[in-house]
Amino acid sequence: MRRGAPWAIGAALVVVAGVAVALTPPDIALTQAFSIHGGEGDAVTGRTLTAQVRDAAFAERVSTGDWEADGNWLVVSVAASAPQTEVDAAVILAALEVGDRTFHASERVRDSLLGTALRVGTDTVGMLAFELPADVDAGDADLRLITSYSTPQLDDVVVLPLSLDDLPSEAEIEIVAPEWEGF
Amino acid sequence: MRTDETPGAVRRVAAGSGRALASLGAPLWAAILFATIIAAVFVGFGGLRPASASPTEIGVDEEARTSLYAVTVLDAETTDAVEGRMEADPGETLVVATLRVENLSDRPIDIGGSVDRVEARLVNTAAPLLALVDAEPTDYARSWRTDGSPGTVVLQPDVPAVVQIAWPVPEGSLADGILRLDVHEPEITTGKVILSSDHISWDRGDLVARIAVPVEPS
Repeated sequence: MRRGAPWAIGAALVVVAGVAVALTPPDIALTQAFSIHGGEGDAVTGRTLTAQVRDAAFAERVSTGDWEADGNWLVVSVAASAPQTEVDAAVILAALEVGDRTFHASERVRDSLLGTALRVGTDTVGMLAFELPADVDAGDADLRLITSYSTPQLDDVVVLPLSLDDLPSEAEIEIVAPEWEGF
Repeated sequence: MRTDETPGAVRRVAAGSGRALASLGAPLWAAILFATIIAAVFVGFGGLRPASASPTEIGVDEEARTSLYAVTVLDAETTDAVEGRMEADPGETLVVATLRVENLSDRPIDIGGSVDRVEARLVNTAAPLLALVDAEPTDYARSWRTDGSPGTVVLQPDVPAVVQIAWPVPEGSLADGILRLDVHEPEITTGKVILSSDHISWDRGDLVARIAVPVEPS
C-alpha cells in the first residue's frame, strides 16, 4: 500500500461522516406536525380542520366593542369547519409566518375566530387579527391554523399561503364576531 | 590562560544557536506568531481585566437591552389593590411596575408563562429574568396591558408593549422607596429528555443591568 493511501482513506471517512451528520434529521423531525398546504384561496382540509382564507387587509386600528388599539394590524377573514367531529373543534392557535418570524393572532382582540366552536358541514366565518411590526407590509406569508394550544406533534396542521403584497390598507377595521355562513 | 580562544568559541556558540532556531522550521514560527496575535487580541479586549461584580445601573425611562428582549421601567408604585386585577393579602403589599417591553426574538413569548412551547421566564420562576432586588415575592406575579386589553400578555416579535407587572411582597419591603429590578441575559435551552425537543426555555444568564426607580406609594 502506498504511503498516501491511509491519509486518503482517513480523509474520505471524515467526509462520509460529515455527510452522514448533515443528512441526519434533527430530533424534532421525529415528532413534528404534518403541514397540509394548499394554494392561495383554496380550502384546505386536515384531520381536525377545514379552512379557507376569504379576505385580508392591513389596518392602522382595530376595534371591537369599546376597545380599540392602534398599530400595524393584519386582519384575515377565515372560513372554517370541522371535517369529522365537533368535539373540541376550534381554532385555538393561529400563527402567521413571515420570513424568519412567527406572529400569533392577537390575544387582545375579543370576538375573533380563536376558540369559536366549529360545526361539521357548516362554515363559520370569523376574523383573526395579527399585530405586526411596522416593517411587515409585503411579501409572502403562511397562515398556520392549529386546533390545540400548541403546535401538535405527529398531527395535521392546515397551512394557508397568503401574499401580503397589494393587500388593501384601511384606517380602521371593526372585528365582527364569527358567524355561521348561510344563516 | 588562553584568552585568544574566546572570540572563536563565542562565534561557534552563536552559529549553533542560529542553526537551532533555523531548524525550528516555518510551521512552528507561524504557530508562535499566531499564538502571540491571539494573546495580544485577548489582552487588548480586556481578557485579563477582573470580572465586574456590579451591573450597569440605569433609571426610569432608560432601556435595558438583552439579546432577546428589551425593557424600560416607566414608573413604579406600591398599592394594596389594582382594581379588577389583583389584591394584596393581609401582611403583603403589591409592587406594581409599568414597563415598556419588546420581544426581540423571532417567536411570540408570554411574559408570565409559556406559549406554543416557548417559555420566556421573565417572571414567575425560581430564577426569573426580571428579578426584584431587596424583596422576595410571596406569590406569583401577574401582568396585564395598560390599555385594558383582555387575556394574558403575549409579546409579538419586534412589537413593543406597555404592560404592568405586579409582585406581591411582604409589607415593609422596599423600605428605602426604591424599586430595583435586575435584568438578566436569557440563555436558550431546548428540551432534551423529559421535555420535547421543540420546547424552548429562556434560562437566566448574566446580569445585564439593574434598574432603580423611585416607588410612589398610592
